[in-house]
Amino acid sequence: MNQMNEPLTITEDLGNICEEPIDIASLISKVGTNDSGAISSFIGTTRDNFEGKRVLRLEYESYTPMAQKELLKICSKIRNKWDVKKIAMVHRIGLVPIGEASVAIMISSAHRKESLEATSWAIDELKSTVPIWKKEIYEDSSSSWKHNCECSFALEKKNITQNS
Amino acid sequence: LFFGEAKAILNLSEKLFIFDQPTNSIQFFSILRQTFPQLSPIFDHSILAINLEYVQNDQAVNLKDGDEIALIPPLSGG
Repeated sequence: MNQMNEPLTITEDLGNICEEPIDIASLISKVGTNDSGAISSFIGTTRDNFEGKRVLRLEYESYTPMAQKELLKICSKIRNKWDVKKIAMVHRIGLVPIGEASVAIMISSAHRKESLEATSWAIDELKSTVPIWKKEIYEDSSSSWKHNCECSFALEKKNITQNS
Repeated sequence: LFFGEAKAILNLSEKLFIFDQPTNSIQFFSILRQTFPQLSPIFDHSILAINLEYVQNDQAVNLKDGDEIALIPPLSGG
């Protein structure tokens, strides 16, 4: 009997690192539920400039098993704070061409307020806790490993190039 | 394990450490500093993760055989 009831409340969260382009449409369909009135999303895309320098390409690397674990921790923290239905968080690694999605967060909830707030919180939390690193390669062939301003331990020293 | 800028500077993604006496995470961090002086700009804003969990720099965790320790430089996901 219990098994028959289970599909009504699917709470498995998706926290993934992938090397391929993120399939936004498929993520949307994964988080949709019949009892949701909202799906909120954040899609982070790669930018072609930083402080006047032209960025040719971006490369991400991750400590994948830990990154997946941290993504799922964020999902469980979201569930402690907001009443949401389903959560999907995916970060792409490797070379991400300019203009493509490097990260996508999709959250469904009965009403929009919960999923909108949770999505905004989730991207800040991802930037401060999930072990992923980004390197920008510039037109003049120089490159730079970026530091998120949300990352608490990065701030122990000043004079670091910061990026939000 | 080394990641990001640290991995790029060392051109090394992992190294095995064998200790003949009990060692904790704070001691390990200072051993890393001595072993890889070329990473000194990074150490001041990095932390360790042991077996996929962050360890704060002032937290002394005793290391065990087989522990996987990662040097985590400033994050830049997103």
